[in-house]
Amino acid sequence: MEENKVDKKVVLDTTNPFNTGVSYDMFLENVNAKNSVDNMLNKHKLSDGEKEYIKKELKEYKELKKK
Amino acid sequence: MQEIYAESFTLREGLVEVNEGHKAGADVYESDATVTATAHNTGQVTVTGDIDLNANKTPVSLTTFNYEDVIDENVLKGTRFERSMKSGAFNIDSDEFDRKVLIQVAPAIGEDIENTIWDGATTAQKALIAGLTPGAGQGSISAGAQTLAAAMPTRLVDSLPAVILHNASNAKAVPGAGLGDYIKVLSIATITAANIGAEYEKMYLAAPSKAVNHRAEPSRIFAPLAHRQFIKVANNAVSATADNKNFVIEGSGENEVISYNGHIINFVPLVTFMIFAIPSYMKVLMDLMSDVSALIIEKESNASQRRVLKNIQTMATWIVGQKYITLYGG
Repeated sequence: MEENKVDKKVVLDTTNPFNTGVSYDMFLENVNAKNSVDNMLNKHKLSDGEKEYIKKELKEYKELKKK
Repeated sequence: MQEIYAESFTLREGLVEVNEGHKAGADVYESDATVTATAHNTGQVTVTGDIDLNANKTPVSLTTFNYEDVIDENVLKGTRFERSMKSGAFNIDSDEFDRKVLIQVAPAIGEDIENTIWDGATTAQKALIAGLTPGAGQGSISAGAQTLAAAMPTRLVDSLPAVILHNASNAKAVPGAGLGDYIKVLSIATITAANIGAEYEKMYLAAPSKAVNHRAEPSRIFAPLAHRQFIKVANNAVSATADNKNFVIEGSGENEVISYNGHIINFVPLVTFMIFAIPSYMKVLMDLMSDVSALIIEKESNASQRRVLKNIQTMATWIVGQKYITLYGG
């Protein structure tokens, strides 16, 4: 009987912007009517300073994209 | 009254490593060795692969640039400087003008070189940094860093922060052109007198332990000029006690030394960025350091009454041991 091989895939949680490998594009892809930036940041229990930093970063990121 | 020029401490006092003798390019080598211990062997040594030696070579190009102009002192006639012109219609050089005004060219060049080392990027480098994919985690450039790089003065030579952000070193984890291997300080804030201690603490804790504990050449902090003022206000705050002071200030005036947790802070024309690094890991490659202060002043040819001013430099900035460099704002 053949062994069932299970490929273990490492799933990157893109809802936490601080995770290594997560770009702002990936993070923002999670945003929808039910899932806001605040929801995601709160889910990961980030500090007020960290949340404020991410919001500032996202603002700058959007400004850079316009250029 | 003469202008005040920021002194070019970086080259004069060797705040980073200055390598001279390069006309157009330099090969920068970074090497390392990894070793594995094995059980005692009383026989002949054979090929084990237990000692791995690496040497990576990265070619770095230097840029030659100049400061040059022609001055026509005929315009000084009718001013106070006319008083020190020698008699004779051909003589319009003013000794007082040379002593009070022309003398400022060299320190102005020194200040510009100092600014070039710490703030600025070439057009090409700005495009490379803008092309990186931003993110908040380690291994990604922050959007804030990209904004800062875009706002840097466009220069003929890349500054140290610009090179830290993006370079083509073959000694990186992924060799070649791309994001630098620097350590990023996560979740930073705009620095004020009120939070400067907390922000320095973030950088200190993010720095690699090997860099923090490097005794042979202690790591230093390279910080924006305004931090000197923020630090003093923070240290003098009403609530600050001797136990709570984050920064140690020793001496005064020219001999003042400020340190944070034992690491000397060098105040340089960085803009927002801060760097925690072993000083010799940051390099200025030059043809000759004294070129900074070598100013040619001579009469134009063919009986011209005008004078030529020219200073010429060859320079590049570079970094090694990138994984031990912490960039606040990166």
